[in-house]
Amino acid sequence: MIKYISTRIITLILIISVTSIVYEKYFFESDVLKHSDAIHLIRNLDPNTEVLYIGESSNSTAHATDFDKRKISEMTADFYPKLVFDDITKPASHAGIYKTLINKIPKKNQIKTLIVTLNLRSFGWDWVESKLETALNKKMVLLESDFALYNRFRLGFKAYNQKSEQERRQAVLKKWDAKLKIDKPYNSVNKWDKHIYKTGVLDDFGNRDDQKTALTAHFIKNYAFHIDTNNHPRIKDFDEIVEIAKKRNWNVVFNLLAENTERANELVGSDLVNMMVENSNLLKEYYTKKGVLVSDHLNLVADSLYTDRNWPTEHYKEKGRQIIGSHLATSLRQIYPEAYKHHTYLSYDEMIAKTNVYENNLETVKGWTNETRTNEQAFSGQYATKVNASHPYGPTLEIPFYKLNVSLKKSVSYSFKALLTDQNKTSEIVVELHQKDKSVVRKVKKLSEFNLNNHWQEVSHTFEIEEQFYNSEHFKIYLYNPVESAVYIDDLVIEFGK
Amino acid sequence: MLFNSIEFLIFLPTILILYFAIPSKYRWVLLLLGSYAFYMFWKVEYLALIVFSTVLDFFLGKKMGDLSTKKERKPYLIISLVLNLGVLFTFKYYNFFADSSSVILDWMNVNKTIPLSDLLLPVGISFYTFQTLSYSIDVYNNKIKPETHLGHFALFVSFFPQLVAGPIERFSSLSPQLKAIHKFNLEHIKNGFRLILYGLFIKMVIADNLSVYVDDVYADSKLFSSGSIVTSMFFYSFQIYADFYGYSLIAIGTAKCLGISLMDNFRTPYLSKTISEFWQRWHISLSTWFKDYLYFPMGGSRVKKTKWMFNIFIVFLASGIWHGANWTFIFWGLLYALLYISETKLALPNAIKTNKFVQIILILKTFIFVSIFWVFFRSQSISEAFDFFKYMAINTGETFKTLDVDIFIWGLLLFFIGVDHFLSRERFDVFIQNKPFVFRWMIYTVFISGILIFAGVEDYQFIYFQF
Repeated sequence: MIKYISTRIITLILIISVTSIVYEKYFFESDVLKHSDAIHLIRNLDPNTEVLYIGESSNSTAHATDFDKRKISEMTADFYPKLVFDDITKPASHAGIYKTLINKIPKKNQIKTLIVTLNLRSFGWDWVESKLETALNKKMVLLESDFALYNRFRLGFKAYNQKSEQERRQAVLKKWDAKLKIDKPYNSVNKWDKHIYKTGVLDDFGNRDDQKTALTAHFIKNYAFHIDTNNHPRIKDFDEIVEIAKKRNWNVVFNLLAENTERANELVGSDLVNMMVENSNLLKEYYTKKGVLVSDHLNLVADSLYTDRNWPTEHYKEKGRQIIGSHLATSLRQIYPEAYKHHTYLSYDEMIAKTNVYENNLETVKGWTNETRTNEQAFSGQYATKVNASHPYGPTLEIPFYKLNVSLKKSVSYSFKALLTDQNKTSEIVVELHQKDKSVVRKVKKLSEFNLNNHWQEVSHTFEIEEQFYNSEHFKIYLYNPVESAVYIDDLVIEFGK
Repeated sequence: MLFNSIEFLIFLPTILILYFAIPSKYRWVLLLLGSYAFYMFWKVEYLALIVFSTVLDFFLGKKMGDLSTKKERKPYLIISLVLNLGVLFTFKYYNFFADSSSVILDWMNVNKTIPLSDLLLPVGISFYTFQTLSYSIDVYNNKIKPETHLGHFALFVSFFPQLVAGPIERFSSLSPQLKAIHKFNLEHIKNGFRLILYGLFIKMVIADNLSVYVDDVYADSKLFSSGSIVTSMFFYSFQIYADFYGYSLIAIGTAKCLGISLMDNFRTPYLSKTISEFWQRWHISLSTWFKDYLYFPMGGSRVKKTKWMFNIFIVFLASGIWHGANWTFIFWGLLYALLYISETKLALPNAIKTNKFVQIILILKTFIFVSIFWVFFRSQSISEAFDFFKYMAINTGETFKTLDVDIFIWGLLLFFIGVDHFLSRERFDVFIQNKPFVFRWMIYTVFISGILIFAGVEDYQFIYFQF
């Protein structure tokens, strides 16, 4: 019997060992690219990065009317021209995700300072048990620092924080039953929520305003909690980040994000705002004791500078990002007193007055909305942009057209290098002129008219703009390609009044 | 607890070691506690529902056993039916009922909305409810003697391998096996693990990989080309088969390790030549349940033609409702009833049916109909299913997305079809047990490596868990 069992166990170990070697050699890389695309965030980091900013969508979300659509991290970098800044920005992520990503940063690096987004709302149970959590956690499994085959095994057997949406909902509702330290009959989130729905929030005419009522309830659900530093899962993750940073000799800065306390006060009142302030003070104190530099922005951004109106978020308009960027830069002076250089952000008018030519070589992203940057192909440098059904809109330049000098409004020329993986008749260059009455005038030029193929070729086209559209509010120009076969473009130049 | 989870990979060997280590008379306690622990991994509170069903049917069964006539036993059967189906209704069908009623009230211009419940659907509720109901009905019909030991009965209701997705066992078959003394039998354990391995392979590698493509198209079929929609329709046929068959094999294999035989739930259903044959090969434990407890009591086929047709409609309607609280399942059941009756009416002469070529055509015909019907089963609403067919017909041209199916997936699918066909005569454990060591381990290597490297990564549980 012993011989029988040992033969089988040895055979099994052999099978698993060989499978492990085969997997690591032939399948792991493609699996990582397929199931853990966040790896690109690490691999695309500038190897000379000295200051690394890590955060979620608050870093990169801009408002449609922003001229400078850059990230908070880039705005902070404006104050340190001699330091190399880079960022890891992953929407909907939080400390648990940052922790895994930070662990994947190669041992050999130039990083001296790690700036981590400390988002108060991410401590709320609605976010801890967000329906996006399962997908986020799944994407991290292959990036864990265990054996490749073991991680693949965990992925296949769903051995990660995996719950159904319904289960998460139930977990949140349970957490919302916890007693809150407020002297009101509605002393839990669930009771408070019910109270708000029952009483409703009134509009200026004294009628029940359903939209406002819903928003008020959202604020309560997102911010009404007390952080327990001994048991909260986010604290555990942030603590681990501090430990990792210590081991790697990095300075750690926590960017305590601004929350819309002004709106919270207006809709809910001081009970909620006090809770927000208490929690943020607690975090500040807790992490300062651990040697972290906490840059506190909780109350710095006014309600009018938030982009989302129907949901509490940390998405700021240009001015809001500038406030946080510059304040964070000031905090960083404690670490880099010499490298700091005063910087003034340009206004819309100043920027527009400065140039009529907008270039984008895709190597860095400056002021252009762009989700399509790739290193699969490039005409120059390392990056181009890939536009296809997955991301049908190429890099988009948006400007408030009415502010342009009249002499520049008569035409706009768009030139770039293009490579088509396959012929298609649908991709086109699009100009949109948004009118005051919300109508949109579109002008298009089909790429099929340029006889392009799978080699890099120059494309150039000038759109004439009729005088009746000179007062257009907003101007957009982009490449649109809704089909599967990709169009790669690089070295974009847009010139007005040519 | 899911069969394809690390918890189960630890749970099963632990149970097996303890099972054979402790004296036989205490094994039912171990299996009962193990079964409850298995269920509690999903949700502790809902164990109360199983306990409720258990206690209810145990005492009602006992009471019925004391009474000599059917007339006397009837009230107790009615109590069992009402309470068991009442719990099922509350947790599974209430929202469907409330939603549909609100729509009807709206049509009637009655400004009233029936509130919805936010109760979670307990995993496997339809399975264990039907299992306990079969017990009550059998006791009522005097087919079996009622169980006198509450613990043994509780184990019959909650036996973990088949608790959450069947096979739905009968008391007369399962209970004696649960009470029997099973000596350690290496052959049983080996065959059990062979079935578990094959079950995991077809669930995790075949079903879960196909699900990616199916989910993609079903999420928004209007974006996809006709060809892609057709592909996803057929992929779903294989996904649901591999998913449920895989689950059943793991359940049967797990029970086998403990020395207990569960009924086969599938016999190469896609090789069926008629719908009637398909239902004799697909989810056999449910089909036979409906046959024994609904179709035959209504008179079966030994009634007038119109009554028989009515019986068929009722059985398929009940089967549809059993699957889920949605009009799609009801429509799905009714489509089967229509096709079943049509096929019986239009049956080919035996001389033609025996022709090989005709048989292939019949198999293809049945498979295509079953695949079309699965569209209703898979869709969230009937209109979504009709849209699926609409886009299948009109989405031509290069602007539509095409499913970029990896050649490897086609290879896997062909492999599965080939193996399934090959195993149509004997189950995998029977086929492999007498093969030479090297051959056996080559097959195991394919399955183990396949699971480790190619297991699907979607957050899918077993499809039938929702029922």
